[in-house]
Amino acid sequence: MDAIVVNQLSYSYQVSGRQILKNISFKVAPGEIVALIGLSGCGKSTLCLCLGGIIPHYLGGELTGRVSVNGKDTKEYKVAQLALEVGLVFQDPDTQLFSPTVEDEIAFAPENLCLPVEEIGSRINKVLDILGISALRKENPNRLSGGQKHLVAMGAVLALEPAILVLDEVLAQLDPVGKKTINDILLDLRQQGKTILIVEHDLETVSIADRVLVLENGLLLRDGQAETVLADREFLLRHKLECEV
Amino acid sequence: MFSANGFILRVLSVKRGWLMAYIELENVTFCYPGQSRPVLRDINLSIYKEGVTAITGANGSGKTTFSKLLIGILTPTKGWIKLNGQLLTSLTLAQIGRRIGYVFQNPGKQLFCETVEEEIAFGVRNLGLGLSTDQVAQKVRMVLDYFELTRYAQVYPLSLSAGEKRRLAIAAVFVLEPDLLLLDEPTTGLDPYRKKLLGDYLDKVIAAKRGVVIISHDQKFISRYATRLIKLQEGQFVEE
Amino acid sequence: MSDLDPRTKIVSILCLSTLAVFLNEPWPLLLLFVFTLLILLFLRINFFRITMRFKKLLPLLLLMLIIQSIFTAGGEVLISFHDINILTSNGINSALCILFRLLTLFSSAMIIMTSSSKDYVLALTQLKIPYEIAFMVLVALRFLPIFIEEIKDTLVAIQLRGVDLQRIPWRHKIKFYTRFLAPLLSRVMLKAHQLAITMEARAFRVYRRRTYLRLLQYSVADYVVMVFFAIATIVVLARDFLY
Repeated sequence: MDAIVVNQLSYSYQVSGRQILKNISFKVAPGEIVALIGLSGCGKSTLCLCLGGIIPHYLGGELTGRVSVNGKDTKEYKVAQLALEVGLVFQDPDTQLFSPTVEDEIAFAPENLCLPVEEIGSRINKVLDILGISALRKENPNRLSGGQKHLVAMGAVLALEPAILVLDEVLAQLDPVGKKTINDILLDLRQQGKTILIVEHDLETVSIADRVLVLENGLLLRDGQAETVLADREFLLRHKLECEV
Repeated sequence: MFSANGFILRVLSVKRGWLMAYIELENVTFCYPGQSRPVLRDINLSIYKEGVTAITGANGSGKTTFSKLLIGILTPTKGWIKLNGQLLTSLTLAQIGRRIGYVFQNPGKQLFCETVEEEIAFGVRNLGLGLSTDQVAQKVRMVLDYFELTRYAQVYPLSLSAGEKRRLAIAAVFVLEPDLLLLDEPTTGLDPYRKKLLGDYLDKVIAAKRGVVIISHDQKFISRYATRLIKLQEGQFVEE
Repeated sequence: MSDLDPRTKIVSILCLSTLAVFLNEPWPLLLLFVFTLLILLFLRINFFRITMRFKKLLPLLLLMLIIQSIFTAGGEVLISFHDINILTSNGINSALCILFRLLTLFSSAMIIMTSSSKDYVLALTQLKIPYEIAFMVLVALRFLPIFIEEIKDTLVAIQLRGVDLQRIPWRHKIKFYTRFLAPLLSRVMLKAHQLAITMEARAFRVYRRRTYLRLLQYSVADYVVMVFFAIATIVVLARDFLY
């Protein structure tokens, strides 16, 4: 079974009526790392919201077509139930942190899953350890720096241990050490058979991907092997995905 | 008062073509209230109104704190900062804002108007040039066009995407015609095309004899545009 | 004492404030205030440093006390002016009562700060309150500082765009603030909305119950403190009502 199935997905916002996604179809197999690239405003974030079921459950507008994650149709399941399959890390860390300490923030998801106390504790330790933020355990998340907040938000979702992980421009605000840490984690997760979708601008950071999807003005422009797409300089330059500096 | 480090820097600044430092920091230490370890320690630094000064450092090394000190949002626990020869503490935020254009790390926080157009017009009106409504509108149109924001003119700023918000925030402080631009992580959320636009724009700013300070991790961007590189390490600066 | 169960802290706050409301003489109230200060000292809270943050409210408090003492009649006349009694002993008495009462209420509320807000969520859920409601309280508590920070950021941004807020006259200032109130509120609403999305995207409310990393447990100290407070309150109040 495919991890992610997107079938003829179109979406337009309620207010402006502008069509953000236009008839998009693709599938992602388990254990694949897929990078989603495209210019600002091309609909990448909107697509992420569709995968987590936030569209249509939270944001109004018109959605046609079908999105399913691990066989669950996003229209039929609640966001919380979809969260059992897909973990979403959003762009803005400030709206993702609400607990008094980093530890509580990471504990939140496993607590919702009704895991036993020992399991929650071991997940926290594991997540803090692989992200290299054990020293921040008792800190107030709101007092951390921008990059550290991103790591905590990432940790809070990793503690869910979802089969599918969606990262919306998480790497952009991290220093080289942080980027390397996340890359290693992603490669490790792939080894465990998890599916990962990363949204990024920087072509270097998406080089760990197996496959690349290119979005332009809401259309799926290209879907191909990472090496092929990233090596096609002429294509990348033409669509402003890479620029001569 | 007259530390050896500060002296050496001053000699260096003389060497830089007798250029006067635009911002001077002497023995600046900063510690958040209730914390024992200072974020920044005994910093002596001069920043010039020329080129692009890039400040790098690991996550949580105090880069954003440093930028808040430069703009007067935070005040040093020890030491002083001078802007164009005047003590920063003697200036109001409005006076500082007209000389240093500051773009927040999270630009959504600095947008407070109802439309994109209004956001730009706000700064234009505060310049005190006594422009007529038509002149303001004309300038706003020009800036909107320059930053490719024209099609969003009537849009609510917070409904823009992250990259567009940043572009708008830069445009909004740009109209104040500051001497120095201070950008905290400006390339976050920008696609390569917009990054290049930002870079092109920085080139224009420099050509107009104004300075830019960027705080960033983006090695590629820095290595292309920065003329001076400073690294923040354990609360102190290392010139590279 | 900072290791006390949050529920014990809530009980002690309730007892202290009940006493502060029902006691009606300056001396017992002063005693109660000193007792509360001692507790704060025990909890390593610096009452005076926190109070200084509210120093702008001091003139208001002072004015209230003066008005209170002037308008309360009875007792011995201390100052009079042409047959009008300006200050009486009863006036001073009631002003002092109000002062100590407010101080006690204010300082006892500070006891709450010694536990993390997550502990209060636990306390509420263990008091059989549905966890959804407990978390609503937690998020609301977290939202207050976020809201204040948003206001601060907006004010800083406005000033950095060349507006001298300190120098514009009062009338304009009010107009200015109201103009930015709507965008500010919608920004906070947006944040609340996104926070709700984040919580559900982390499987909040997926099951009817949830587990917790920590569980609260009463220790012997908790029982001692709670019984002490309960008895002390009942005794003092009973004595008061019997008179």
